[in-house]
Amino acid sequence: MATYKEIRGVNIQSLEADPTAVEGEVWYNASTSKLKMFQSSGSWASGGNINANRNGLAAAGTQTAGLINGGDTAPSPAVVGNSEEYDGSSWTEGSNLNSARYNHAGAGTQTAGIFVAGDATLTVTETYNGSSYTETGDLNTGRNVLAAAGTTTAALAFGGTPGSKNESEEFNGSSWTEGDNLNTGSNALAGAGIQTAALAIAGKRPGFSAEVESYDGSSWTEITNMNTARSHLGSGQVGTTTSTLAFGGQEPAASAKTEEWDGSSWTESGDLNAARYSMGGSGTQTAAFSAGGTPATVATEEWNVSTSVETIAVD
Amino acid sequence: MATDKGFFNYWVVANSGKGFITHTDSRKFWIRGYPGNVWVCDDIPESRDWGARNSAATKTKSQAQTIVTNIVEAQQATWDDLSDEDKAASTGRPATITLP
Repeated sequence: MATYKEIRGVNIQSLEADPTAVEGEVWYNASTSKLKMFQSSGSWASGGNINANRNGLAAAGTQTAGLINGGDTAPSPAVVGNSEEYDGSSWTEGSNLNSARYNHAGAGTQTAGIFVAGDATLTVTETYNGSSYTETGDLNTGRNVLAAAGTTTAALAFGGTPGSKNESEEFNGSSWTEGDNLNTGSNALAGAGIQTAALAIAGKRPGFSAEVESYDGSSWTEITNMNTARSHLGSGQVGTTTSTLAFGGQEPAASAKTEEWDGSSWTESGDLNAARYSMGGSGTQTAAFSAGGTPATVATEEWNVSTSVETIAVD
Repeated sequence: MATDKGFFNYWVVANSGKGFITHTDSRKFWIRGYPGNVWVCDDIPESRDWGARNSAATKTKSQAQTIVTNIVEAQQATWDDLSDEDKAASTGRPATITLP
């Protein structure tokens, strides 16, 4: 059997007290005569229910300051412009979108959000300042089931349908200009990051895809695939190109799977408590939310990562 | 990640929101929601406590499957009646669900 040093290149440290450790680190606590390791694990729990069930909604913000709007309420079709704000406990109705829509994309925060396109080939962009929506520069190419990343002054929109679009567009706070194209057109994908460091995650290309691409502000590069191909998934879109979360979706059946991205690989983690797709999702790799979706639901789920020091049993 | 226990409890209860399923619940037992407010859990003491805490109604697997199937079949019938254009724009015909 290989030794720990042969596997990790170092010996296990003998320490008098537990250190400030990183994921997977192992040490021997000499004062307690225990072999220990540091681990983190994520799980989903119920959050406050949204006020109206919907799918194809958009989301922005964080788990304790979230925002959702638009969508298609069940029974379909009933496209709405309703907007709700989350405080980590309950959802409160806010101002409506000026243009009711579904299958649009959102990015930003609860008090500075940007929402773009939707329906069949809508080009309308709206920003939210925490109290009202304002229409701003239109996207050049209308589309739906696209993804977005960034802020109200530096946003990125990419992918979408009709077809599986590869166009991306960059927003400077007032207008959209063409960016580099995705290597493979995708729709019903998820997005994460900012305008100069974004991820295009999975979607239909045109079949269910696990492909992921990374944008550096000038070009898209294919990176490591997810473990499970899917479309209509949610993401921790406030996450970064080195730390984000992807969850739910269609495989084509509804999926509960969650995967965490650390900048080099995707790791399957705790499942959603109910499989769903076309939900609104936002947050970070360590604290995200998923709201609404298909099958029709008012449920919100909250993702959190907890860390612990575990004693390793030694036979 | 799927459960590996193999024995399940079947419940019907509406999601009451915050606190309905806690992180502690999620870490202690496998739980999965389905249409019709049907919930399936590993059959362990902690999941039975969860059912009691939420005043969930116990169902047999057959009863729970019937609830889910009826809802999915209604959704499938609605989808079948859509125009070809609406079908093409949709996320597809709702999939049949078989409970574990």
